[in-house]
Amino acid sequence: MADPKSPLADDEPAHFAGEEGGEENATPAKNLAAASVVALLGIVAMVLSTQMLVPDTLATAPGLLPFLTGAGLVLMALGLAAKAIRGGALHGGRTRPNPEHWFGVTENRRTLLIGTIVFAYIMAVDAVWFEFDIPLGIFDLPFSSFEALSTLALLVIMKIFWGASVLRCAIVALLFSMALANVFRFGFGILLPGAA
Amino acid sequence: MIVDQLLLALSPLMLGVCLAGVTLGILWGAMPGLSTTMAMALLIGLSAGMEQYVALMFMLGVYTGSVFGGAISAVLINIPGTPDAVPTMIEGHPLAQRGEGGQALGTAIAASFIGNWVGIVLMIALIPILLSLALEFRSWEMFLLSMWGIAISGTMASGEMPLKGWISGWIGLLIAFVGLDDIHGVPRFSFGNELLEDGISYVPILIGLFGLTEIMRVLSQDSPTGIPSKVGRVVPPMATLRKFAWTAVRSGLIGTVIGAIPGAGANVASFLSYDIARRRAKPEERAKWGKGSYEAIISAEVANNANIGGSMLPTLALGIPGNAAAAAILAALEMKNVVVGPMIEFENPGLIQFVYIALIIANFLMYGMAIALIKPCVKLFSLPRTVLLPLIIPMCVIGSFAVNLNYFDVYVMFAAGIIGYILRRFGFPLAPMVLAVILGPLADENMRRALLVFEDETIWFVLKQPIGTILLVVVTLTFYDGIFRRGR
Repeated sequence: MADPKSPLADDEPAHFAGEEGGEENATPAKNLAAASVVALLGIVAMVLSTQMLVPDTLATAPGLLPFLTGAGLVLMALGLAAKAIRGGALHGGRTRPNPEHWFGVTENRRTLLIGTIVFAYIMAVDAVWFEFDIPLGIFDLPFSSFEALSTLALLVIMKIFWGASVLRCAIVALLFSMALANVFRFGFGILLPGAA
Repeated sequence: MIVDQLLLALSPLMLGVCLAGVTLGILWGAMPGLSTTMAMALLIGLSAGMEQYVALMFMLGVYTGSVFGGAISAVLINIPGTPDAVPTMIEGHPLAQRGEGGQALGTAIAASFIGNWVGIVLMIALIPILLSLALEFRSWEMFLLSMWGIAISGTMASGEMPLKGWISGWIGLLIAFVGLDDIHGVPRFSFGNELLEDGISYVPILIGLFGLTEIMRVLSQDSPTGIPSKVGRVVPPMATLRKFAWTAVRSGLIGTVIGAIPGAGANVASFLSYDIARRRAKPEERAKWGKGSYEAIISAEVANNANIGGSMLPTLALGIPGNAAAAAILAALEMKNVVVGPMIEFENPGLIQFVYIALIIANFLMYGMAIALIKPCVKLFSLPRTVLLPLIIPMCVIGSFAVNLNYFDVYVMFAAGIIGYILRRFGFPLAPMVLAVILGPLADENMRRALLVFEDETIWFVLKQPIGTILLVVVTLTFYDGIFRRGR
């Protein structure tokens, strides 16, 4: 993507970064590591494809396109590896991942934290189930495990990343979870996960 | 038929739904970190509870609104709401700092309105041609078209390293093959797991890749809160628009064509149009480029909005989504058992006309609501991303669960989110993967059918299929271009 802070010179062609860009994250060493994983994935796909049943001719074999896709991945991985090596992947010193360095980066630690909380939240919604009605006089407001667990998950994430007081985070989390659940439940007639 | 669709689209319910969609879209697009694709992916789940036309109207409203919405924060706080608003930010924010924020936003609104019109007109003109061509497609042609869609998406999405786009697409193909195969019912990559034998729905993958991945990416970074510049009066400057009318038309054409190419969306359209307009600008105008040029804003905003009509072209006529946002519309329609593609006019008569009318209505509403929502948006900018982004997590869970009412899909969404995050960290684009998951079954089934037809034929017989041979050349050229030109 063109650098937003530095407008291009008059005769300079725009740098084509594609729809999603992302090259800023890719070093030759990372590309070499990615190529190894992709090649392995391709080989596994090829092996599994050959083990699939062939009820009719080879032309209609269920494993045909998966095999070709796996082979394609291996070829592409070789191309990526060659490019990475030409870019100096083997000369930049150690290419093995360094967990100590990885955990030293704040962004990585935060990502891991978000991933862990989201996974725990998803597991909890799957495992815990309850629903009861809160009598409000004119009608009963349902409250299920989904709202409770969503409130808890949002509270934890907001407390960590937003940094406001627990009460403030809890109010925002509860109001949003209740509103979201009831919009889906009553507005769109969609069953919520964990609900009856 | 068109009158029926017009009356349906103009009913109070539909107008209300469209207005709600456009409003939500503008607000969503204006918030930095919340992209159009993320909105569209999350809406699939919401649309499960809506009637087919209501869902379509709502999604098209959000799509139209959110593509423009990115311009608001780009001009006022120097942070693009959506990635395609970066050129608008480069040009619009200096204008806002000089006290011309209202004029800059007025130009962006009018340019978006024009862009939408160009996209819609070209879509209406080109769909019948594309449909009549598509009716000639047999298995061989459909296979090649699907593979071209994945390949070109890889090329367009990843810029200078098409290999990475293709790898992303090929991984998507492997995901698409999971489950029982359509012809013989043989399990593939399911490892005896019954849940995997049902196959992997692409909706949770779309939500995971464009919802959860983005949350993890953006929330983990420090998020600066912009201080809005003074807006002033928002007036679309007609004299400026007349002055740069040719730029607007050219940008509209670029935006529509780019939109019709799978994998290339509003980002490519706005950057390409911005670059071409800069090269073709008069010297006195070019001198303003980068310091606040109205012509530049027009070039970018017309292109990214024309992209909407363009992206609907292959989606409706061929069943191949023009970009990830169009893929979400495709998914929502599939949930209603509406299969788009060459047979759309026979199987779902009136649907295409409804899309035309819905986009026109959404465009008019976008014009009005954009002017009305600028000031509320300024207030929204004070909301930190650390509050907004976590709120999307429960929406990802409900969205992926609502499609099949199967909790396994939520785990698929989570896995897709993690895989998407890792791929993005390694510089791999995600759109080709989504496209491949959608097109994989189509490619697989049609390739095997074609091979069966060609079983006892010579290679000359295969090459004598004119459309197939043209497509084969196009696929070959796409790989050639990626390997020998861009991939150098």
